Amino acid sequence: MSNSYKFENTNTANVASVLPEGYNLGVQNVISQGPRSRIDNELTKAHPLESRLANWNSSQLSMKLHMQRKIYGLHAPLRTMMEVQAIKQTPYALNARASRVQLDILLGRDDDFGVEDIYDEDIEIDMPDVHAMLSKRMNA
Amino acid sequence: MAPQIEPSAGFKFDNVKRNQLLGDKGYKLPTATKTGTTIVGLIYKDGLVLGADTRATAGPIVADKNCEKIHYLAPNMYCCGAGTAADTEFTTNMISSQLALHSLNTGREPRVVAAMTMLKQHLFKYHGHIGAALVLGGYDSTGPHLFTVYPHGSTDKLPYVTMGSGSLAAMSVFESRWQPGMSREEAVEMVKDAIEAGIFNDLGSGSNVDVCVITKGNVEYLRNYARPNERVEKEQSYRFRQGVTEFYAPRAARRGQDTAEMDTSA
Repeated sequence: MSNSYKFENTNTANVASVLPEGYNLGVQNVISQGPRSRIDNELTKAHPLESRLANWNSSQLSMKLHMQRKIYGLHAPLRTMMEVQAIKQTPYALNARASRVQLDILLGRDDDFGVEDIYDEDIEIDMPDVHAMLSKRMNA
Repeated sequence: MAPQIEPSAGFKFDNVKRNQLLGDKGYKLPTATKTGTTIVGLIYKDGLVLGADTRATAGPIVADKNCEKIHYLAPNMYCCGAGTAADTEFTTNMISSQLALHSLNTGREPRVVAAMTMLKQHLFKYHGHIGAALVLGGYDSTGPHLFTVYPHGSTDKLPYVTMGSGSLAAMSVFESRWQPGMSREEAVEMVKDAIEAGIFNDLGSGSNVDVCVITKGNVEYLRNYARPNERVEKEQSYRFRQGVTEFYAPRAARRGQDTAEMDTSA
């Protein structure tokens, strides 16, 4: 967890995303997630505001988790992240936006209204990842 | 499993490097429409009065002679905006939506401090690049409140405030005449005088005066309360007499003459 109450997290390695999501696992992930180093993430950010905004959600979450650690104890941030991961692992629903409601409520964003609620054309996730679903079903 | 992409709505920075390169070569970006502006607010006996001028400028040119600078936030709260016009408009609309959601969630009338906190947190996140300087006023369950919010996210709570390029002219009026517990007529008159001081002494402010009076449970939005800059009637008439302008085809048709035949051979 983060070590201070710092409002914005300037480290690129962000501990709030604990479990591997877009993690570099080598060749396996090339098909579903593209090549290992995305040009977008490698380039330095042109505008000082860009990195601040890109890290905003995760740095706010780190700060909340840090405060939970201080107030409630070592277990509290772990429980929160466990619940978040549990929600993210539920099977794919056809309506992607509604399935984010649970995540919003847990992170306290359910009555927030921001630019992502107005300009969200590229957030609509239509294609289910059939290969991942199938491989999950086969392995489990 | 749905891919977990962090939503990336909002500002796009794809063109920053390109714009920097172009700027080095001498091609300047067009300037955003600003509201060079005088906006004021003051608290009187029964509530508060907000005032604003109505000129929007794009550099040295007047872009809009009668724009609205007093924006709606909630039924009991209004917000005047100075700075970049699009930023004030968009920020107040977004905070208005957020306030509506919040008040539905709590089941109560929204408080002015809630709006102020939402505005301040939103503006701080963008590090001052959103150029919105706001005067926020409203009457909630705890009484009338007046706040200023600066583009970087700092706020002040005061009984009378002025913002914008004409703020010095307007503040001189307030500093010499404001007293606690004024009547409604005195308050509206003082706001009108302050805005007119800004209109006549500041190049960025002009045109008309908008006034908004907020009391307990009631809001009066007096659009164009004073119009000290009405356009004068022209002394002569510049209309053309009918029949002065010549035009060919109908007149030839009227006289029955044939028009010249077109040569359509290849």
